[in-house]
Amino acid sequence: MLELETSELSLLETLDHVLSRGLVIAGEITISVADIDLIFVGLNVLLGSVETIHEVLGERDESGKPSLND
Amino acid sequence: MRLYLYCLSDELNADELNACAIQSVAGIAEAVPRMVDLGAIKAVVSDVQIQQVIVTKDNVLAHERVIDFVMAQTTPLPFRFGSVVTAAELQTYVASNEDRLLALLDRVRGAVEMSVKIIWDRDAVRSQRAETRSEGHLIGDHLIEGHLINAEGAGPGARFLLAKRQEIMGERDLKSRADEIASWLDEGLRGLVREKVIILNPADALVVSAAHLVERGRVAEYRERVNSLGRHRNDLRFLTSGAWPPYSFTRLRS
Repeated sequence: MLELETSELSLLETLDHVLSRGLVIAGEITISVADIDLIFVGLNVLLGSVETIHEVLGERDESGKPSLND
Repeated sequence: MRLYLYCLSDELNADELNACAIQSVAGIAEAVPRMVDLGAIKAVVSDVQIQQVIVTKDNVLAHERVIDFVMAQTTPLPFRFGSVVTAAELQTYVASNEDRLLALLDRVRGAVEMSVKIIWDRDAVRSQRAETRSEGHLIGDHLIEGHLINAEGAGPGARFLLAKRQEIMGERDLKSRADEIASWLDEGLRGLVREKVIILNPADALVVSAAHLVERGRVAEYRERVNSLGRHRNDLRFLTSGAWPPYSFTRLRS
């Protein structure tokens, strides 16, 4: 079981929710992407596999931040 | 001056919101959030000079932070990130959709959105199904519409069609397995979910994305149930998150 306990994964889940869902007033949303890395990592995690998540977060785990429960 | 939109609610009142110090919550571009009274419906907005919002970590978190603040009081209808309108446009939108927005607020009242993402090993599933059908390779006899065709003796055209048929059957198998997983999840969460939005992607590793509308008081029970389900399926990986504002339950019904 994989739980969202890291801030990184929470951010990626937040991205998934706020960018693609929610009320829309037709024609009134124009966003531009400034932080390519953020989106790239987001897509990798959201569309990829658990292994990808471990790869993405592996270096952070080594730095002592909370790791994923699996 | 334009308005950045966070969410709508029919339960907020300005005094309560101010008492909760929403002004202390930094919104998009550090703008202070405030409430706009549109009659039965209130909107939480902040004043912005910009016409478009850039996707950055800070902006995304600011959007979510303001809505989370409101979530602590009531369940609102969240706007999608990047909604910037004039005051007149907001007023027109709410006035022309008021009945449907109120109905939607009723549907999500007292509930939160929970998310379950299920990841599978698609290639393993495909191989397993092919072995089950003994069609892992393009050899042997194939019964197609009453005609027995031997792949080894077939010409290039027939072999192409056989390969295509095999590919299509493989896709159908994946779709069938994805449906089975979604049904299994549904069954496992029976009685706990008020509404659901399920997205199936048999062609991807992320095979099921499920959003569930769950009563606030039953979130712990929901989490436990999902954990329990996950323990029974070693062939699948689960990514769970929540509680969220009901982002997936904002489709206006005509």
